[in-house]
Amino acid sequence: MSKVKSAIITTLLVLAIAVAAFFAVISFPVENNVKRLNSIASNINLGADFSGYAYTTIYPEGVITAETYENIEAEKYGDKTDDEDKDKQSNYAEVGGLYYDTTKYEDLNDLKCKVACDAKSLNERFGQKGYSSYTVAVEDGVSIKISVPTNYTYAAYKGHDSSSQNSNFTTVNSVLSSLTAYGELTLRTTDESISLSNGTNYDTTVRGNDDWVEIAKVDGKNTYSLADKYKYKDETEADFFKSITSSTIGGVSRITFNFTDLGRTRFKEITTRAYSSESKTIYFCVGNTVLINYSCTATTDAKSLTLQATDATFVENAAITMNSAVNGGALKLIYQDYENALTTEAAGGENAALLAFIASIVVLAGLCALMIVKYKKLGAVVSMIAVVFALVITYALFLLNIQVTYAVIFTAVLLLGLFMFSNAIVFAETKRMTESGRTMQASVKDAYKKVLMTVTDMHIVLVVVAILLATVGVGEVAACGFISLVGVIASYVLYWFTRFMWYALSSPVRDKFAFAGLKRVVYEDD
Amino acid sequence: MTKFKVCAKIHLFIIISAIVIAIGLAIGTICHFCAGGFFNYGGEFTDYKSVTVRYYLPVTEDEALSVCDDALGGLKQFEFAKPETDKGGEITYKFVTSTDTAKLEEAVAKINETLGVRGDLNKNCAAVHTGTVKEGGNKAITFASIALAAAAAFQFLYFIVRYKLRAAYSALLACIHNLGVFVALVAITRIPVGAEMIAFGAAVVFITMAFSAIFFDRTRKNFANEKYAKSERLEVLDNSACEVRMLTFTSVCALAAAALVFAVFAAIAQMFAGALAPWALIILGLVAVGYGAMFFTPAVHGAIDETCEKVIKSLKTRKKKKSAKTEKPADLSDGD
Repeated sequence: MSKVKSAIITTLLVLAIAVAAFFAVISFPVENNVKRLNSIASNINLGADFSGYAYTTIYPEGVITAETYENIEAEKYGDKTDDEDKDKQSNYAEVGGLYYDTTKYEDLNDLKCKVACDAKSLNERFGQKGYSSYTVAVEDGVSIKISVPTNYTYAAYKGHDSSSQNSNFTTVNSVLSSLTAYGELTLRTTDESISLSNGTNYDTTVRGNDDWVEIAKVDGKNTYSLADKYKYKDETEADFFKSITSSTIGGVSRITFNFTDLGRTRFKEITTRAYSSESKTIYFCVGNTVLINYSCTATTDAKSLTLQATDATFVENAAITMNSAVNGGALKLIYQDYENALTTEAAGGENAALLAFIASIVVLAGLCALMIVKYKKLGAVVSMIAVVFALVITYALFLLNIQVTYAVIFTAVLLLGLFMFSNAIVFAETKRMTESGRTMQASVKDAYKKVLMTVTDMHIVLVVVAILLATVGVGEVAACGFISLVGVIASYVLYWFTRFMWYALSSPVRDKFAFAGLKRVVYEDD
Repeated sequence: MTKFKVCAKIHLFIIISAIVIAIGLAIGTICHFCAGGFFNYGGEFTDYKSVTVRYYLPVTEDEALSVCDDALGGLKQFEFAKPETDKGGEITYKFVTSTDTAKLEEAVAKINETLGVRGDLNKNCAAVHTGTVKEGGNKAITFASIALAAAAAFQFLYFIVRYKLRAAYSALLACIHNLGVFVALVAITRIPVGAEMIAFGAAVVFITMAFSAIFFDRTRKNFANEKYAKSERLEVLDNSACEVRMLTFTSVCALAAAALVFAVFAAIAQMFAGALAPWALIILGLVAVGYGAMFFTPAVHGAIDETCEKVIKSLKTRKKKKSAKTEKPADLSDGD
């Protein structure tokens, strides 16, 4: 390759790296409505270690905090200070740092049992969300505290991107409120022609039409769940639904209701009536929370019903909650209205994300320095490609919405190590070849040939492991799997790109041995 | 180190690994019954006692914090959170369950006394809570195990095709061994374990597979090399192990150094030793992988290879004897 070609290729590559690196790491103000252009790195979603938790506590009806208790008592008794007198009259008894209504819950142990049971159900529901970390804790035996990662980006966490912060906060609140929905799954309608109710006397209508007992009625603000009261003897939701699942492919989210044979028959009856009604709409509710509605455009007579939606999170939440409700995970108690979550600072410290980023740069610089010391200009070539590799990982984390945690960072470092390791193997082989007196070109060619299968085998095995982790694993493991998949492929592609750059950059150089930090071995003739 | 022959010392490595795993299992089992878990579970998995302080404006966060710090001065918390709201904020201190409740209540009374404004609806209020954490992560462990088992099965099949059955067995054993040693070391050292432990376990298997591919590839090449044509199989294996050892050692050290860099920065970010836990786990994983890749795997492969060779030899001898027996009467009949 000529000097000019080599120079052009090098310049183009360096320019591309510089531009990509600039947008990857530099955030800067701009003079328009956007105000600030945040870097790619600062737009990567962070786990709780780097952006904190959002948490909420749910209290069963009749359970109150010490603060509320004090307020109630203060309102009730004003300036009275006789504590004994208060205790005598108060309906509330203390349990840990909380108070419960003794008239509502005569048996505290029964309340504690139900709360523990509900916490178990919630733990299972949140477990299906695939969070890198989350906690469901029973506090004082009578309340449930749930913590999930905020999923903020660095820009959102630091307040540089308020729209992203608001959007993430809304998502977290929607997840927490949907997944903590209490009560059984019911199908409801506001249309009397579907429920065959006359709007005032439900009993007569329902009794007169047993086919419709699982359809309840939503009437303005007052919700009447007739399902519990009038369902067939020994019938439960599980008799109608096998499972409720969700999936998102190509930006389209789907929720699928898998019916039992009985459920199929019932749903056919329901949709037949709904189709010929005015509103045609059936609401799927858990307790009093409407999770999804179905507009009947035809009679449904199938093993399953699939509905489409655009919001993946919403569909997933609805599916998890409804599936839990139909499979014995319905919350047993009635809980107070959901309060917006509170967000904590990063579990790893206020500046954990920034310092982890600096540490990543230090590690990258250290590895590059090691390669340069050992392989001189060839080391510089590998270092340049290592920077490309780091950029690929950064952009992949951003584009694939992978939540960065300690494990993901370590996986990224591991993959960088894999790339360096692959190159180190071929460099060691080249060195061995040159020691046998071959020319540099012949050594490089033979070395790449010799280690071809070693490197390929390694990458094939690892890419399969990565695919399995990404597809079968959940939460942090799946995130590590996804980034491993990208990293292993990038490592293999860039391994060959290093070969090309080695060729391109060393072509104009006269002493190719010195370029790779090697010494020419000259055998003297006998 | 590059000249250290491992194949002859298989028993030593088996003993070392067995001791480490046995100690780990013993400590883990004892702790499971006596100290709350096989591992020392970190904040997200452990039960706690907490002090929650709600304050409302005009009380500022700094004021509330200073009151809390005064009251809780002598008590050591393991987690701390101070989310703010538009009306004020909430401060939560988490303590281990063994913390004296009376002391916490005393501190809470002090906080309430200083911050509380009786008769005001927006009352500043502190309370002691006891939290029981529901163990999460079961699903993550199950699915990660399925993924890793499937990966190990794939590696087994791939290695059968690429490097023969005995190498596939050794690689499978290496994965199990390294994961076992890692789990044992985590149980022994009692480093606080979080959700990332599952991902680190997967990483251990991931690195083991990479090193196994390198070692078995080198072995195969050396067996095909004329230089080793007259050498014993064990000698070839030993030489192969020696050839890749430096590369393995350098890689493990480089990764450990990287983990140390992250640990230092994490410690700076969080300002307490707990921040080091994930990185300490990584270093334990690297120790397990390094030991496995440099010593255990080649030694075990040597033993498996030797056993296989013996079996093949004995089968051949038996076959020869059999054929000799069947040939003899034929000769006699010819002679006749």
